[in-house]
Amino acid sequence: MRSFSYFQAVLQTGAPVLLALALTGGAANAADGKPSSGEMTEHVDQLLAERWATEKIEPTATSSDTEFLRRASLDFIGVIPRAAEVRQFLADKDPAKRKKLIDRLLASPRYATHMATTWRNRIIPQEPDPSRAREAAALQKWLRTRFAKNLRYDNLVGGLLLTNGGDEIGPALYFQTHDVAPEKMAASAAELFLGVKLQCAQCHDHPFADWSQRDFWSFAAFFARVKTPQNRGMQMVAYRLVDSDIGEVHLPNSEETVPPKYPRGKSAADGDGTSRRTQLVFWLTSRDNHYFSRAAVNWAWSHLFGRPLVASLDNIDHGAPPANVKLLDELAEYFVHSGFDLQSLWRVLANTQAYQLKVSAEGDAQRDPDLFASMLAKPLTPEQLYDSFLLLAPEANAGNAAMTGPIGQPASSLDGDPLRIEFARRMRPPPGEATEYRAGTLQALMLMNGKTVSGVTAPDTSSLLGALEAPFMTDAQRVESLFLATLARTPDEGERKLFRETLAECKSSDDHQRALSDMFWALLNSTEFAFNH
Amino acid sequence: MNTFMPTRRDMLAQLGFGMLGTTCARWLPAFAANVAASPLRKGQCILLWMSGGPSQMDTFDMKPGHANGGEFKEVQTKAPGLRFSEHMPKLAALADKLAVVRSLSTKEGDHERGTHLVRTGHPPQGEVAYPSIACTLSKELEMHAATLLPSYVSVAPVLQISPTSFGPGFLGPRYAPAIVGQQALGPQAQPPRNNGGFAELKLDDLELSPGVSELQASRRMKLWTAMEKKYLTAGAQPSFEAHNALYRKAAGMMRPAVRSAFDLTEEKDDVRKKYGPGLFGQGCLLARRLIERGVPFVEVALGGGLGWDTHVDNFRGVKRLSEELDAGWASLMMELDERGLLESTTILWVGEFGRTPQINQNTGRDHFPAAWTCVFGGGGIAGGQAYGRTSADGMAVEENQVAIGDVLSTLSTALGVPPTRENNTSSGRPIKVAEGAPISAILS
Repeated sequence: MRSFSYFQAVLQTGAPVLLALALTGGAANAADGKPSSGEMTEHVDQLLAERWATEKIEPTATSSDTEFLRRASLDFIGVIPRAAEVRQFLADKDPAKRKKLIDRLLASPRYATHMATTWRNRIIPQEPDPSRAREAAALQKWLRTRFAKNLRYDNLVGGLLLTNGGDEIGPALYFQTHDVAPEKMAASAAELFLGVKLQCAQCHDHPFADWSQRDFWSFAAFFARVKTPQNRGMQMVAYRLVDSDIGEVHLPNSEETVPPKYPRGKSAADGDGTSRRTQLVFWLTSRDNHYFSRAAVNWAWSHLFGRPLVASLDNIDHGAPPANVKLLDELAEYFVHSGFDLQSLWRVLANTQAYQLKVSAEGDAQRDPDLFASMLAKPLTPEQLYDSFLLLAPEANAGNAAMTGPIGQPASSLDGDPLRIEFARRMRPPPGEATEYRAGTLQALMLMNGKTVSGVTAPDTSSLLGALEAPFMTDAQRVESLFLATLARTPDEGERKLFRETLAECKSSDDHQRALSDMFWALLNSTEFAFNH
Repeated sequence: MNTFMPTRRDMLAQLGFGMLGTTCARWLPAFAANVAASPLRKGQCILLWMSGGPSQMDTFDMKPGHANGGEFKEVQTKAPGLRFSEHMPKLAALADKLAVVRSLSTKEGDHERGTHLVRTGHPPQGEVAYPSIACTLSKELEMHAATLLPSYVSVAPVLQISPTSFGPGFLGPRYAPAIVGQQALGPQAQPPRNNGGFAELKLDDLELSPGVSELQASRRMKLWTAMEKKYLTAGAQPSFEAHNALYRKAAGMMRPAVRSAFDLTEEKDDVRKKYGPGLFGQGCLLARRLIERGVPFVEVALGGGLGWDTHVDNFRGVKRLSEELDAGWASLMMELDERGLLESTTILWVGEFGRTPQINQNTGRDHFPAAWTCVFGGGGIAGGQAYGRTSADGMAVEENQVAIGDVLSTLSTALGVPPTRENNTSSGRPIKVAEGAPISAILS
């Protein structure tokens, strides 16, 4: 028998997980004939190729090495590549260099940082209240340490939902920002971990799917007994979450108590000493819960491709392209059998032919985006912008006490960087499609004239510009370095000519220095820089 | 149908890629005149935000002769039967353009909660991040506006009380205010003054960053334009076009001819003095300049921190604030009227709550949300009247009680925006511009 406390201990340490699963008869292993990530990649390629053939669609060409390097870097480690990395990658003759790049990126400490940022924004979509900056930084750290050791996805989710607060102020923030209200927790957990937008059903039966209002409240009932004990007297006590024996939910405008029941499943019973929350996590993260694995895979796909395989899991059998549903299900099955191994899933997806494709260009026939026969360009997120700026000019943030780690190892110090939080708060686009550009003029002005970009491009503070002043460099090399550092590509003939002429026109070394700064500015503010393509 | 009316899009397209030329300055006024004549045009709005909660008993709902009345005299205004405090003589002379709502009743008596309630129309609870009414209305009004300037400029706000009440909430930072002269909290926070003794107002990031010359700026735009042209020709994603158009718009805003809207030194000193030298007075002058240039929504805060929070020494504080208010607000209304803009510009004067009718032992008045006052003026408003009535002691509403939703609906309606218009939150939940019923008696 699994005891509650044992299960919790397992979730929190992460390490004895395999033991726990062995005891309960779970995990798959390589010997049972399941496909390797390479075989799964080939299978995905095959399914998509069949689809393109049926639809008589020609996919776009394969992306260039520099396009792929910049794309994969932004997707997996949240920053653009450095100029030196671009040069190395271009010079590398190994045919497997793209595959090796993915492995390298997944092993980088920045991978964990980027995933933590991404998940923190998913878990708490509104910007955290400044008064909860400490909790937000703790949540970022809590997530980062788990992504760094590639903790099983089911254990990651279980650990989040079963937190008792106290020292774990990070994951407790998830409950705190939802006011520990059963209906808010239910709506959020259903959307994040089941891929189902249940909150419409909070007030009425779901308009498009057969989720009833009662389904919503029976799901919410699992969170009804999570309580926050009041602080005693004036003593400051850490925010704690405990599972009480009492607490129920009621249908709106009704006295009727709704007992806990798994969505489309059986009722849960109180009384065997297992809290409702624990019962929910056992059901939610179980290998047989297709919603859980589908939602994870659908999110992972959209993280790389800019749109999910299936728009909504609410009503998957009506409206979604059947081929995409099949692909989703096979990937979900792979994910379950891999032991909810997120890195293994990334390897499958990032090595597919579809992930190598170019963004469609002018003159291409309009493609149905659900065919994934071309890459969709995604605007850089505020954190991708900020982290990339910081990579270009680490000293621009020198005044920030949180940034004292050695250069190249800024992963942990980004957790609570107040400048990063402030930048993201002012740059965050309104909700919408991941591929849409939705900023306003204030955001554009901030990038054109604001402190962050000015700090990066000022001749006297920019280390990159300082390096370009070295006397042994030619103007052609300077221009090339600027392009590599920002757009991760070499300039074309027209660009070389324009930029070199601009430098040649300079009448003083001071103006020459300023001209380099202007070029840097123009590149950082270009549309090409603003997107991951 | 006026076929000569260019759309906002045409206008931006005409601006082209160039940034530093000033050729558009000459045709801007003509363009503005075209827009003013269009039947599609919506109103413009000025919110005068009274931080700390102003005393209705000593301004617009006086109770002379009652023990609660206090020491100020009441004087007759230009509108028959409508009487204000003696310390607002210029506004009294404009009372025919003001409608005083004396029957506002709310339930939040804490600065943070009251600010949230009044500014968003909702108490601070629940998972919806409600936008400030200013963000919501500027979003509606900007579709019809013809300006290169930001759609919502907020002068001298005190954001610390309730930061979320000043922001765009679920609408996103795209609809955030452009903030000028943000105030710190506390009495020691003095706004910077220039050598003429006037408060300094500056919009962040609208000027070139320090150390960047005009020559550099033009070189930057030349390089940028060349890069953009090539990139946008090669790729045809709508999102790329959106990015490029946004930058061109921002560059347009940076043109000297456009950003000079914020340069108050273009005004004569006697005009600047007339408005009052402080943040509020200079903010009102800036509001006039922005309204002239088509900005849909301008907010000016008065109160220097929580200045209207007169728990102690109420009468000295209110007298000083009334004088500042009178100079700035009255000058603003007069100058807008001279320019024919007052009839299309709706003004709302309001704080987070009113103040207790009883005078406390510190000659102060405390927080009082049960019966208080806000004032409408200008476009869409039937001026020269008081709506609603409080009891002789000021403790209760006796007639025509209104809720905050009614006030915000009235503002929205006066501007030509149906308050029932909806925006969706990220979870798809529709949220109305304002809940409540417009006060038809004060709408013209």
